[in-house]
Amino acid sequence: MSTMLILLFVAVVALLALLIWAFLPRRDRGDKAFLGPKDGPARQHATYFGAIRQAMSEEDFDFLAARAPVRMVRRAHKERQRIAVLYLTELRGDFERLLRLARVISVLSPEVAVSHEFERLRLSMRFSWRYRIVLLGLHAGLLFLPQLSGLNQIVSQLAFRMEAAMKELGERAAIAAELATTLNRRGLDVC
Amino acid sequence: MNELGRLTEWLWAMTAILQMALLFSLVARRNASSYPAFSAYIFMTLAQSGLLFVVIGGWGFSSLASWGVGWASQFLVLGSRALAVAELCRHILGPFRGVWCLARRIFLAAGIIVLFYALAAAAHQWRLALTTTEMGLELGTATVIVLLLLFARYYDIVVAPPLRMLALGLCLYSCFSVVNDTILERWLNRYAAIWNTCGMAAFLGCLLLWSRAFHKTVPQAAVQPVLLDRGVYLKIIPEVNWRLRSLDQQLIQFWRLEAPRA
Repeated sequence: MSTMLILLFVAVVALLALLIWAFLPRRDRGDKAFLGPKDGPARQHATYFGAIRQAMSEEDFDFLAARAPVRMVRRAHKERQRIAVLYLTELRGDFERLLRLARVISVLSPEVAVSHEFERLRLSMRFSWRYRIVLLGLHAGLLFLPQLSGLNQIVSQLAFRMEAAMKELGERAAIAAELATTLNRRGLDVC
Repeated sequence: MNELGRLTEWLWAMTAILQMALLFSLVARRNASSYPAFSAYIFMTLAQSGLLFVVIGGWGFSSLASWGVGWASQFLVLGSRALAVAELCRHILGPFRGVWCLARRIFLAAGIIVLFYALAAAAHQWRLALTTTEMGLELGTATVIVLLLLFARYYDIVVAPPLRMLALGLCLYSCFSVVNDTILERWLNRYAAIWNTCGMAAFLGCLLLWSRAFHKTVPQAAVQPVLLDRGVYLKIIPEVNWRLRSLDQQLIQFWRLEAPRA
């Protein structure tokens, strides 16, 4: 009996915690635009990737390590880590925007597939968890940078292919208008 | 009626006045036509109060008649509350056909699972069957409302303030009832009077919240969203999921990175 009581109390506390969380405003709400022209936000960070890769290049670091004092090398390393963290944060922003696009498409679709929806939910939760671990690793100086290129490539390709798919369907303008209206209302309004 | 105590009587009177005021407000501001199930629920609670007032006044609080009428009316009220929750779900997710279809199945499954869990957890206590069933229904109701709000949050569906208040009131009252029923099960005899008073106080709080929500005419659902062609979903969403899977794989590789140099 006491176990059941404890479980029920835990269930109620969990429900109340979820209720509070459900009422909290979403952090990514302010970031409205995600569908746009070629230089739209979804591809913005890909544009800077060349410069970032140059800043992170192994050759430059080796050159610096061979000639500069240890203090400067350490400082350069810290700067690289900081840039990596910033870049990763921005990439996550891109990722969130694309996820949001997918959610809006789901909401505006007359039929959705349970398997696709659950898979996306599972993946986004897993990504969010792993992203935090990677960020923690970067902050702690445990991880290094080259693999960021793969991450960036995927996000950019996703943005590009989705845009292409919408063009192909010939409904991009209508959808963009609908989405823009929706986003301008900071979400999907119901009364 | 003396068995109930002054505070309970006062709360009872206050609750009845607020129920009538809310019901009047719902009808006068034409919210009753948009929210018929919720209006029916408020009417049922008012009718239950009146009925219990008469029965307890005639036969006493501890009589078998009061017990029977109390529980019978309570299950009718719970049924009407379940309909009010279903109405709330339809108001929030209804305009979005695909998501609503998905949500309905999930809410129903979750509600039934939670109800059966609560029933199974106390199956050996037959004398508490009614309380346990009520607790299961309340827990199921609270779960469905929380899931509804999580769904709305996940899909970026903005819930209008009156609906938020309605959901909040229904969920809080259900959670309170679960806690109350649980404690009642444990300390059944000596706790009954306090249980009644606490339950009425909580319901009074919810009535105030709902009165605030419906103090003016709640606007009808915004313009129905123009739904996309079925092909858009089928074309884009699998692509997104595939990309997300690849992205997830990339994140795994972060763990296999070289250590930073000194």
